[in-house]
Amino acid sequence: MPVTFTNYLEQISHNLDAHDGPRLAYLLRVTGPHVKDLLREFKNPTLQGLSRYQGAIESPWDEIAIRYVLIAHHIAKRRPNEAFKEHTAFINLFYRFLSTTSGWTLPALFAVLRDLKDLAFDADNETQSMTCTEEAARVASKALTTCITDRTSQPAESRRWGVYYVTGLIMKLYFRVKRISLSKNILRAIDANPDIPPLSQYPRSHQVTHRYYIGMLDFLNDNLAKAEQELTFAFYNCHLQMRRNQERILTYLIPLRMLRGHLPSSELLGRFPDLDRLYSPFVAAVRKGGIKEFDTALDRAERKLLELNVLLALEKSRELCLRGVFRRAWISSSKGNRMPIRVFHAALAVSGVELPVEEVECLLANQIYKGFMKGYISHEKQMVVLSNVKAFPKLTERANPFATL
Amino acid sequence: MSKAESSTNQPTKEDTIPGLGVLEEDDEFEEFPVQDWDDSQTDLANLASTGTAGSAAGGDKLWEDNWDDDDIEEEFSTQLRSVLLNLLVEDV
Repeated sequence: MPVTFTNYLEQISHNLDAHDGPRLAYLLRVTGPHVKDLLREFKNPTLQGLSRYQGAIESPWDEIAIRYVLIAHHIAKRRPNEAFKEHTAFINLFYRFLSTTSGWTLPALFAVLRDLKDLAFDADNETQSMTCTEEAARVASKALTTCITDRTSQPAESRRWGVYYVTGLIMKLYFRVKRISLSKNILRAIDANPDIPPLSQYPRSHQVTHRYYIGMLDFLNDNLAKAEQELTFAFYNCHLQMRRNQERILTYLIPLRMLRGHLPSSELLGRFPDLDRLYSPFVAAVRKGGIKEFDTALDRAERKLLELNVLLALEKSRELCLRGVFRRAWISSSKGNRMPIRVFHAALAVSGVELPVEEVECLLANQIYKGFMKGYISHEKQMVVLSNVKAFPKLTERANPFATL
Repeated sequence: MSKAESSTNQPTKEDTIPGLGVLEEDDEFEEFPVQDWDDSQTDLANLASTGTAGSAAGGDKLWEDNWDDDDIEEEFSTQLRSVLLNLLVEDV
């Protein structure tokens, strides 16, 4: 049986009374199956034409429902810009209601924000701009404020349970328009509010999304140690069936963990063939100290790595290859603790990297400084004096592995 | 990467990184269709230790920590020795 607009209004009204958030969310999504019926009922809906329904149900829901029809009409007529504009008006009306209610409405809030985001992307795709996405971020920020400032609901019923979902959505929008520095403001707003429950009490989907974005912010701001922690959490807590999300997390996590000496196993890479193709040449190079192979792989993948913003982090693994070369030279020399610099120089040459001896000395000094080797250099004697124990400490045992890279 | 392969792939460098369609730059982190799930639906099961995921380190079959072995190819040692020997000869 087709849903008439009168039915639709009744259903909204009923679910408001019943405090049924998921049903309300279903009714408000612009993709709902009832949309078709409503569009059949109103061939050419206008705000004025539908004004006769004003007062049919409690305000602002009469107007919300009217706007809903207008949005659906714009979408059906393929007018993404108008649809987006109408949707912001719709969502602002929804906010008026949201601020008077408790957490049961959050499923509806999440649903309308999701639509707002999708409509903004559609509109911007058409005009090749970012204005709607930027506007969507502003509109969504209002929802965050409304969630944070719930001072009346019982703790379990608080709108604050929406904080991290909304934050995740806003950060998604900021990343899209490449204005990630704006994230600081919303994160500060959360930090400034001690009444927000700890993140660990939120559903896993909120936790994983939030920590992915925090990790990405850290990654891009060169806080690599923190990035590794956040992304590790995100990876291990991500739903197994969300392979694309896992893959995205690993794209950044693999270079970070490599720097600490944790190489992705063939089991892990086997699960993600694209990552396998991208990273296994580097993993193989690090594993055998193949400095030349590393450079070749970097040369081939440079563009892709740059696009993904992982070039800088991955390049740092070259240091691990160097260590591999020096370590092999040391093993070839029966692990003696007095190693002439020219032996290392020769080892690099054998590995396909010809450098002046002075430069090799400089590389060795760096390796010692960064904790890859233990010992000191006697410049006069052109000799490296290595520690008797752990001359080449295990990579996983380096202190502050990210601080000196 | 063998020399033969890198020399035959001259034309465009990026050609050689095939099909990374899934890793597009604008690809967004996808919305989870469910709100919550338990450990059995995550990779936490792959953590051998009982520690928290945030400090995941050893004993995990997804990552290798013990790859730093002392077996090096004979070829490397031989080449290194011959280079060093030549140097000695030059020195004398």
